[in-house]
Amino acid sequence: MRHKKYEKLIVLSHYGEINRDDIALLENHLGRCRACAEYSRKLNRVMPKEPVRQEEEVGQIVREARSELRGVLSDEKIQKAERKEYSGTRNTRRWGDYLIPAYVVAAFVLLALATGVISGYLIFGGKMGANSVRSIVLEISAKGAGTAAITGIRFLDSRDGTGNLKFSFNVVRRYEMRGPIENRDIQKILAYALVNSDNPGVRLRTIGMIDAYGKPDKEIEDALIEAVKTDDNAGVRREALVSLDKLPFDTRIREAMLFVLQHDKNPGMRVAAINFLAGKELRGSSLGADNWVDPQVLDVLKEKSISDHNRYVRLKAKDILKELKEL
Amino acid sequence: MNIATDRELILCAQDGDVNAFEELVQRYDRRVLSLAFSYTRNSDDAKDIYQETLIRAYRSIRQFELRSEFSTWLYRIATNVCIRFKSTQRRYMDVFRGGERGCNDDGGCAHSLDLSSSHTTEGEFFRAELGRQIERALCRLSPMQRFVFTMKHYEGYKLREIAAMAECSEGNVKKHLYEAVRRLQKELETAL
Repeated sequence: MRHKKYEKLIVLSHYGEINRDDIALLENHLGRCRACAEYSRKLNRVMPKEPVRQEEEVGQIVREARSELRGVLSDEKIQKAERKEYSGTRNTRRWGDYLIPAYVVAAFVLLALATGVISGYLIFGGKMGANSVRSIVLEISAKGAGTAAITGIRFLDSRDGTGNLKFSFNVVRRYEMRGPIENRDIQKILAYALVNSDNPGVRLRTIGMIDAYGKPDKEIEDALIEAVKTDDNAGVRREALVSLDKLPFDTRIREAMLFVLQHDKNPGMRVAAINFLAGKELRGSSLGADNWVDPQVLDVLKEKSISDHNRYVRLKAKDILKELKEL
Repeated sequence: MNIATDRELILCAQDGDVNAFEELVQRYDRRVLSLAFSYTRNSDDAKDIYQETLIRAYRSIRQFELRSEFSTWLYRIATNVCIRFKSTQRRYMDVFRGGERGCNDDGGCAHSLDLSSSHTTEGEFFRAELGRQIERALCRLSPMQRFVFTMKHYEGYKLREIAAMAECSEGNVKKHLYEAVRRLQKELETAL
């Protein structure tokens, strides 16, 4: 028969956490109950009483842990300063809302709109000809401008004595394009969207399209490299990395991966960069002399295996280094 | 040379002085590491817990109101990090498939300490084997049971100290200790 109450007292007594009254009670019970006496004997055998401290091991790792912590704390300090600066800017803006007159705000909005129109104009790369103006005018009536939006009409010179009116306006119009990805215009727009679109979903879809149809040219490769290094969204950076993996490996891509490995704050991205570089080295696409393991890659991996703040990244770097050394 | 008191260092750290924070934590961090090491039985995991604890302390030092000892506050953070540590491991395991840390699915320790080197007598061998079995069995305990057991068995803390660290009653700690011992015994009886 089990005596749960006495088993509890046995455990507490084993660890010296029992008061005098309970000691007497327990001793009395153990003299009479064979099951509890056996339980006590087993406990003493299986779990030796003295605490096993790991002073030596702790001493060995405390220095290492402190030096890693120093690195993390300095990162934290920088991030804190950045957050402070950002919140300072935000506060200024909030005050700015009260200080800046409404017409100045309106002027800024118009300026931004005009910048958008000009960007569109530059992307499509041509001056709007008389035919384009004509096609827009055909759609215009007092009720609307059809598929276009017309804003910011300015009368520039209505009293020049010739009887002609001169004015300007912004036209924002939606265009559809269709063509193979090899088409330079399409590549230009994709590259633009990948780097400049505010919407991460659009940036991800752009990469998806490049992947699906891709024989991307240098402009797209540049955009992918830019995205993998600087995009705010880790998902976009990750997809850009996957997409770059399908392109012929060159020094620019290697530099981008080393950059990610050294600077990306997301450990998943750093691990992906390690896998990427390791894959290239192990599959014989090394950029090292005579196809030997690339010394630049080795150096960064060594550094990461020791000093990365994330344990998994360190382990991964160590494993890959081991594999590369066996090559 | 005057040695700054904890209070002075805390006030400096609250003003953003990282050096003061480092000096302050170096007075207590060995115990944080020791606690983490006992809990995880693995030096890498212990370092992760150590780092997480001290980063949390750094981030929230401004909220520390000097009503309790800095050490008590720090060990409480360490305790919370320890108890939550398993779920963090699982999150990492999901993100990086194949990168298992700490306890395996089968309850074994992926990176347990090797206590078996150069054991000369049968007794030493038995103790080493026992140590390994306990480590394996520890992985099957709940985080709280594991914490209470490791703090008591390996670190030798008093139950009331463990209760203060875990912010629960002494009675609760006793309950967890008993449950931990009972489950470990059961595991060990089948293993040995």
